[in-house]
Amino acid sequence: MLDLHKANAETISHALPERFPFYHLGEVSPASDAVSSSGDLPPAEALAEAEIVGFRISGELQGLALILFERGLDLSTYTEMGNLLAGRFVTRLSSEQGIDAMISAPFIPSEAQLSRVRETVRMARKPVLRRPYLHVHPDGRSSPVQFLLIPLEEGAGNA
Amino acid sequence: MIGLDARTIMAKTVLIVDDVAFVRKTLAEILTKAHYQVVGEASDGAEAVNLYTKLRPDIVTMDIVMPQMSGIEATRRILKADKNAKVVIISAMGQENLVMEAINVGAKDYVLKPFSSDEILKTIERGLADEGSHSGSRASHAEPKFGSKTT
Repeated sequence: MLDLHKANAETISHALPERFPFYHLGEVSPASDAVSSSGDLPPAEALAEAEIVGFRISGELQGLALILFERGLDLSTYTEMGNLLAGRFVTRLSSEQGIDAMISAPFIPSEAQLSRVRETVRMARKPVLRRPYLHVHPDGRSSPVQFLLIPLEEGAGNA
Repeated sequence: MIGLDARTIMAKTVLIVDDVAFVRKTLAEILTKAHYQVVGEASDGAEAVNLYTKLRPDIVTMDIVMPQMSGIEATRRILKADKNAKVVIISAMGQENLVMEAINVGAKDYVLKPFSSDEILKTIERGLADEGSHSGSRASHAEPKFGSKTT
């Protein structure tokens, strides 16, 4: 079993999704080719201003995917967008790197859960991979979406 | 029957199963526009099994990852209760082992999200047209009729 901090972060980041259509609502594409790696979650103030949907990653890769998007957007729509981002990630991990992982059903992480995750990340100095995306609506508007990959240790409990 | 047109009378019935309301709504709109009758919606596998038993739809669209019970397990239980049930899997994950598991439990087809209207409608048509297959027999076929974008 791999941990995100042990597996090559660059290898894992190659499985992050590229552009894809989003049903009848436009498309989602990376806002940047670059995938950043940091030792912490975004600042608490930034997280507090965003809507966040989480997906646990289990299997040969253990971690947490967090999808951040602007408040005021339809939660169900962006939950599905997160589902596609996380689902396409684990599908690519399997098909391109032979790493077998699954995602959980979506959940809304509480402040307490996010605090625990932040503490885990800081103490273990694990890399948090982040890729910004843009949801381009059919009318040309765009909404920013962030995809974070966070390592978790076995037995860390629910983040 | 007064006021119903022929298409409504003849409409095949569908049970939609997905834990995300946006997906259920999108599927319902596509299917209703194509003159299918959406007779029920479930947001988890356990509810799907219960509703299938009550409604006996002509076909079920089934997500995989859901609370309470996965779509694979729900498909298994539905087919155990009704060997002629028709279930098509619609999922954001396309790993080969998942597709194989879907085949093995008896799903008629597997569609990757995001789906287009055409993809869904063709998948439903294929699933409904497959009158001869029974649970468990698909794994023995040389080439399952699995559709779009499988790995």
